[in-house]
Amino acid sequence: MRSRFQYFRPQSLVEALEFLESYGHETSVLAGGTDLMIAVRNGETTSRFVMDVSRLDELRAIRKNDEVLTVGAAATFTEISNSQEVLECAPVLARAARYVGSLQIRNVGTVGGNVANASPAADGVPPLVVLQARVHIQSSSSERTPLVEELITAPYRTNLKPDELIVRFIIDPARTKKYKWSFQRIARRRTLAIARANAAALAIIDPNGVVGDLRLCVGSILPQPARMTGAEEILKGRVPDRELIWEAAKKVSSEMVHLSGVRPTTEYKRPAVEGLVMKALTEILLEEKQHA
Amino acid sequence: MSQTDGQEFSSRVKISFMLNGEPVELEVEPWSSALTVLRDRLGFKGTKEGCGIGECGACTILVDGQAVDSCLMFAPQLNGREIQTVEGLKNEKSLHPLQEAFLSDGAVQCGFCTPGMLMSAKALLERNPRPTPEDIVEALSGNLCRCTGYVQIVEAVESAAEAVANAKSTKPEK
Repeated sequence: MRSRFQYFRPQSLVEALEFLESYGHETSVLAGGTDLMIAVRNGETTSRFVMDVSRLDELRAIRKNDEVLTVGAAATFTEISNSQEVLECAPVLARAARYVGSLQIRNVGTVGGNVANASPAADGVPPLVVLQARVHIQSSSSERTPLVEELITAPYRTNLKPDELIVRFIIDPARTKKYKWSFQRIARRRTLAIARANAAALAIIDPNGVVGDLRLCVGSILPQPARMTGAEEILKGRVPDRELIWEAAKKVSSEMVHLSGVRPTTEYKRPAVEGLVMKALTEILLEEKQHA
Repeated sequence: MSQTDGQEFSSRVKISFMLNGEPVELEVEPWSSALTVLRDRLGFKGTKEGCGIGECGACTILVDGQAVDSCLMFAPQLNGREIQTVEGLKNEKSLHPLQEAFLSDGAVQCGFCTPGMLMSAKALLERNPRPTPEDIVEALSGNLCRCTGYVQIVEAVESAAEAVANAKSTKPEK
């Protein structure tokens, strides 16, 4: 049987935060609803209230101000993938947004919901991690701006407090302006298939040919998002070649086994993840041409 | 808190929206889906429930012109929106060019996915009147069909786009 609840649609962010202050511990937040509806359908939601933030202007805007890109938590994946600001300042996020679910789901699914739901396979998360996006979280009495990987603590778990709401994501594009980027994904099919593994990478090669900076995040293979620092260190400060990239890919797969354990799927996932990392890193470290 | 006493807090929600150009007003249970409201409350059975979890696109409707899985939409989210379903495609005189093309190009077999396909195709043609086959494949990739193999469906959307464009160009401008 479906979960039952009372529905509340605040007219402003202030009103939403006041509601959470009083009822946050018994409220589920509705943004796009594409994950929440499944839980309601299965009778898994025990919240007394559902608060619909999908139409709050404060949560919807995508803006570039003073060289900082802010993406509202309730911006949909369609809006993100079409946004000139995101395409210009955070193309890796725009690309990942095009891979989420299906067109029907991208038209309503939101980046804030993707992060708050905290699925290990979320396509929005690896790009936000490599962009070092800050999550602007507010309550009636406080605010904080952790990194995405500081917010997500376990599969489908975050450290959001009951009175807190994700308002927007803050990205500083200046730091990564000249970086090359890649988003790669393995799934049963292009559309309507949850990622078996997904990877976002950003890198810059110094004029002397060595890797100046590299940021790699591989999703779906770890309980919570994390930078693949071991793999990054293998390449940083070195002149990249296929052997080094292969070494980095092996490092990712061994970290996967170390942190997630040997599972029935490991035999498949180990070479698949290595291939995925090879593809992402080869694209940004060895290929001359960078896609637009 | 004042909201606790107000209507907006109730376990039934009053909504109003435009359905195929006609205003609709009713009370809904907030946990019900837009799909249930359309089919079971309003009798618009053209929109189908396939998987019920957003994986097949059979329940696709247009919300403010955008294709959306109505099975994943909560009924209160309909409030204030312009909704189009397959029933709104034809006018009094004739079928929509997409419907004509689906029939003439053999794009319909069992017909279960057809309403969703038509609505996704309608959304595509509204934002891109001259789509390439790749555009069509992408626009329909959230709709599954287990009979046709998709080729005829893509062709039907192509010929519908052409028919619409030709009809426009032959219409004398006054």
